[in-house]
Amino acid sequence: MTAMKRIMWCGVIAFMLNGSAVSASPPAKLALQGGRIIPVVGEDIAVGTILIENGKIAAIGKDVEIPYDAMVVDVSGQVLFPGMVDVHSSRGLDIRNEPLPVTPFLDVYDAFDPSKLYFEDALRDGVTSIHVIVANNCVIGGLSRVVHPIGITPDEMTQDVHTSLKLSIAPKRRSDRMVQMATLRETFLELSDYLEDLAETKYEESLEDKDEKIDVGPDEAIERGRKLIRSDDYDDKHANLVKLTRGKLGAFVYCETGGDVSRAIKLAKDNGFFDRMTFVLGAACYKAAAEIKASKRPVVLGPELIYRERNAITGEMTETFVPEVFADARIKFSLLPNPNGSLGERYLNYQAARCVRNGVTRKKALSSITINPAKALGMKDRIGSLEVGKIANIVVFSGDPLDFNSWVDQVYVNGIRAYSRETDVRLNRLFGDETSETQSEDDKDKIDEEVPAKDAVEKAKSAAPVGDKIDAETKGTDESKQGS
Amino acid sequence: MVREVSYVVVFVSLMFSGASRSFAEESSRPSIVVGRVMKADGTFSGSMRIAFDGPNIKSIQPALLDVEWPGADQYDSGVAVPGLFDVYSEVGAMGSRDENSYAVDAAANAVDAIDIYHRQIQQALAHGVTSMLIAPASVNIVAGAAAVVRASGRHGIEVLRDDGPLVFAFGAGVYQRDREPTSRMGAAAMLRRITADANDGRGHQRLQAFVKGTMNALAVCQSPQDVTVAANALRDNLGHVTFVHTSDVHDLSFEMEAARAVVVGPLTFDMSSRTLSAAGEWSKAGLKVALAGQSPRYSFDSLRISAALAVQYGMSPAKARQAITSVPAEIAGVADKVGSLTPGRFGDVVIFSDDPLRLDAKILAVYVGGRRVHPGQARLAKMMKETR
Amino acid sequence: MSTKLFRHRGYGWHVLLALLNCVMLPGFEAIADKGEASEVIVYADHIYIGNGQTVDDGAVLIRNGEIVAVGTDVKSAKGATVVRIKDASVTPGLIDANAAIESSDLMTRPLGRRSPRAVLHDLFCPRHVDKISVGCCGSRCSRSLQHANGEACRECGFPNAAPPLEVGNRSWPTDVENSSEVIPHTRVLDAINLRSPDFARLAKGGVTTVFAAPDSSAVIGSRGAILRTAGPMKERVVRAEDAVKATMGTEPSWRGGRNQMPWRSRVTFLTRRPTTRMGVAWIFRKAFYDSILHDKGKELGGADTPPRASLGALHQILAGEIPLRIQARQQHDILTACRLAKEFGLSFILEEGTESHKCLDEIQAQKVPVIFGPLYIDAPGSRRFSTEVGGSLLHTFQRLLEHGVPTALTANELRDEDGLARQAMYALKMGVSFNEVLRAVTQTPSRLLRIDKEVGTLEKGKRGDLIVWQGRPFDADARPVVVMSGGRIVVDKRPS
Repeated sequence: MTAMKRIMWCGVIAFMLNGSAVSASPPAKLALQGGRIIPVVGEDIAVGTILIENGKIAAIGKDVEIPYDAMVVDVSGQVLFPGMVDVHSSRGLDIRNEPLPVTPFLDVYDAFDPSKLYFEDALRDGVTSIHVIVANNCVIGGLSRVVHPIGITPDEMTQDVHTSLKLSIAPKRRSDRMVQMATLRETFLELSDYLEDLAETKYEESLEDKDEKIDVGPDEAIERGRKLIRSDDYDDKHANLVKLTRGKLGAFVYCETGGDVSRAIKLAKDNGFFDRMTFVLGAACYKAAAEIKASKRPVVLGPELIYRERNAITGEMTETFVPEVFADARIKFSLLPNPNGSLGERYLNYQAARCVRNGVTRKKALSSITINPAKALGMKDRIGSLEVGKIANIVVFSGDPLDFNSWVDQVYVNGIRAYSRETDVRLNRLFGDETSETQSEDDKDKIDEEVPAKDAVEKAKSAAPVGDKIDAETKGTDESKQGS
Repeated sequence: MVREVSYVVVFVSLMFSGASRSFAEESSRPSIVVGRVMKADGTFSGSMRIAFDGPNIKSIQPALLDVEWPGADQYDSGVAVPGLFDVYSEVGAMGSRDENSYAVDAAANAVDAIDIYHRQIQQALAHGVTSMLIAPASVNIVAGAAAVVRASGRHGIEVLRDDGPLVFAFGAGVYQRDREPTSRMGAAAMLRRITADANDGRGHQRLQAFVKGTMNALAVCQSPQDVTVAANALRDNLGHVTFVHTSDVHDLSFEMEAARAVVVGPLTFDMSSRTLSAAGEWSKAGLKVALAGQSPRYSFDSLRISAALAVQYGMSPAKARQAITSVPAEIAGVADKVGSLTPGRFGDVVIFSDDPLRLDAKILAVYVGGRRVHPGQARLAKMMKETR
Repeated sequence: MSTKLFRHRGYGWHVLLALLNCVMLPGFEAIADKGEASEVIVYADHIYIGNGQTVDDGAVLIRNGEIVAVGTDVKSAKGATVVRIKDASVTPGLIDANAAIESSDLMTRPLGRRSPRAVLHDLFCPRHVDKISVGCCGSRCSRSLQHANGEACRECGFPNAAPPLEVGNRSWPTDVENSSEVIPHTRVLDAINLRSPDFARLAKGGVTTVFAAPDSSAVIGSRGAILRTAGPMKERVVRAEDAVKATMGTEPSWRGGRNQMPWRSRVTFLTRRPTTRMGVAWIFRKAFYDSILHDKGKELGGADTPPRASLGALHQILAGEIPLRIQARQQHDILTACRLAKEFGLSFILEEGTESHKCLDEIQAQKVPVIFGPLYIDAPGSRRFSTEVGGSLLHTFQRLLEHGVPTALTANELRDEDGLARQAMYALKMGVSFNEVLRAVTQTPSRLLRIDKEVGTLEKGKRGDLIVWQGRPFDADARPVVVMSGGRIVVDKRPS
């Protein structure tokens, strides 16, 4: 137990060190030179350079002219990939859902904890944008927020505020679908009642101010009153719902089964947020693929990618790999990491690799962890790919992102190096480096020499495909490295 | 010897008590004339006259229908079938056959649990079920000897055998929380130990008789794995073992190939197709298949429903008819007394309005020992009037 | 028109069913017919023999289920079944030396990380699952559907017997014999459903042979079995009675039996020791001590005397006729196991060995082989409830190999995304070389199970158990496309 605590503390300290790096003044110009670039949007570049200026990507290509005052980082042999996007995560929250069913007035800003190990892990795994949102056990949850996993306060972490509201079509725990839908309908009905009352009150108030008396019918009074309502007149309970129904907020709508999809579409159309709706789908929803496709709304697939069902006729278990169905139906989707995964499914890039393994094309799989979630968040102009003008959120992989043996070597957030594997205290500790616990900043150089993980990984990386013969070669390169 | 004596005692006592009462109620007729008769191979012959001699069938001969047969019950469109045999029933013994203090209880007799005047007997007769095998509940690995009984009149039952097949039980019911074994593993280890002991001449004489091959056994299995375990533990005597197993036929259980027979059922409408096809699969593979009704836990009609479903899922109709009449009688070791319409056997006949595999076939009459026990005279007259 | 359409649809259905059978039911009749061509030739870009050697651009020829040739110029007779896919690699079929097979009629073990309820949902219709909460007999019985008034439930025996524990937790633990803590006379094969869908899942992941591991609820548990995961039922059992599994640590004191907690404060025959680590070691010691006394013809007595039926097996373990495995996770448990083994002159295989990086020298000195795994940072599956897994580090497996300890890798109860092929993938990421990893899931386990004459590598005379991968084996985007067991194609994912 104490050991665990110690590890966590180390993590926190390391994290804070990382965090403090953000506030230090960043180099204005930075060039990542000589790496393989996978921009996701556009063609891969075998050997190229990315130039970062003031936290934005200024140039990208094979022959980029590097300004004399740019700091140059050699990434040859490594792979540059857009920072990945975790499009639906409640792991930054202590408690993921309120017991109350309808809570549109809540905001994750008040709850997420920057010191959570999760954020540190996210950085380690190459995730640079996290959409923090309440979990699925709600009717209407609170407001969400897009953050990057660096910074000490919620404000520092924030990338985009108040993007979306969470709704769930699947019943809240200890409830059923009828109650769930009734509550949703009732909420919007109550909203329109409230708006009418408010309008009427406003109209009457305006009469009092003017001190005149004009008799109009109630309908007319409401109509006139509506024009008098200012945005700060709404009470907390209704303000966000009003925004939602006027298309000023996104909506992440959770559907558990195929049947929930049509209900979600109807609810969204009836209440004016259809154009800003994003589906968050349980595995069983693949059955409604046609309906989802027709709606043309963005799709976020839940962490469980395999749907298992007992065949009603043979009694045999059948397995459906859900992303494959969506890919075949030409629906763009975003993937989520599985937080409960023991080792593999925790990584977004592994989730994408699973898709490739099961027949989804590589391009679609890569999009599903970068540009597609960016689109779902309405941030496709800023994140999700390596393009000129976008925020410089870049992951430097040691190899191909879909190769499980690749490690995240460095992560750049807003053009600033936020993570480096060489100085990752926790990772080194998990690899049995007992000394790393007590390492201070001053001893960093020493670690660089001794990190066993790095050597080992390099050995594995090159030895994996061909076998013993290469083992010897690897040893050779190790020696030559030491020599130099 | 004990068996013969008890049989005679029970039979004689019945003759003088319940049986004499039914004499007074029913008009006994010496013969039945019927449109079709089920043969021993499960198919139907043409119109026949079945004559009785005391409780037994005297003869079955072709008979013309257009003629009025004096003194005979005549069912021109009727189908005569041997009294149905429920090979895994609890009639008259519900709730009193599940003692589980000892996991090995070879000395238990199911016959001790039966109330021979239970009202369920009448119910059984009304559905055409005239004979049953009643096994001790499957809560002990060696559960004891089953009883084979047959209705002897409208109210009573007669014990045909009080030392029917020895019952071995497998499955969740056997694993108790207050005695060994508590798991299938433990149960299997125990059974192997018992059979080894019996081979060495230790243990109850029934177990010894079983390993010598002089006593048949039922192995009541819940899951396919129970079948594997049973087949493995009883492998030296598989030819004397009948499996009672109503689970799915994932593949044809190679374990059962050498078995004497297999009992499936009851089959119900809400089972998976794999379970429903089991009877057909095993029957096609050459195993003797009986269908059980588990009355009165399930409806008394479950025998016929099971047979109809078995046919729907691949069993041949003739085999299905045998599976609820002659095969059960054979498993119970009383094929020389009941289970088919053959001269010399008991005159237990059920007259259906059509093939009993058709679920819309009504029961027109039930004869036990040559006497009509269902429906009663008054009800029959009413029925006749209605049909005309 | 409509009838024609209908007929077509009906036909399609059958084809679909037939296909389903082929994919889902290895061991089903259809597959046996399909795969029983006497000669099969498998072409591949890389053939990993399993002993460290590699053949490039070669082929494996299998005749009557047995490998007859591996090399670059292998030719088959006319009419042989040809397996040739693009970008193919071939490895031997994987062997899991410590697989926990789903062994009860309901799925009692947590299936990977899925909730028991979710598992039940897959197994039964939701309607049935909903009925599970409370049966009509008032108990938490899963099947208390139809039973007559005033009678005990025909499934759980309620009210005559204690109701089963909550379904999904451990409802019918058919592999947990609670009558004693010393049960080497029982066999885990009796508890395992050979038709369990678990085997199909294993085969799909490329695992062709498993050691079906007993539960860890007894101090000296039952005997494991070596099984094949696919092929005809008759050939599934390789060895019905194999090693006995003993357990150190906390698990025998709380799993399976309710050693500390009698039901409703009723003291039953389950209410017994051990309740501590000390107790576990004591019962282990007492069992063997009593066995020695028994061999000397002395009367046995006192508390915790092993059951009479187990004495034969205990004797055989002492004589080295039955191999012994000991599950130990934490450092002190491993050391206790080593000490106890030394005390009775036993050799054993260490299972799990989560903290074996802390006592490599002892393991090395006593020449203890290790069946390590699964790898994890956060314990998955049933280990999540264990207090013994906190010390798991990522490099333990690598350290064991570096110290020359024969180490096999296992996925234990994990399947699919955490199954054995994925465990190998993790091991690669953690820095073990490809050949070492491959050996740890093929050759090493075959040696530890003493079946290395038959399986484990792709060599002449061995069984035709192999996997054809598309891409580099164990890669994140590669998967077994064809799995063969005894020359039969048991998993076929080739695009038709």
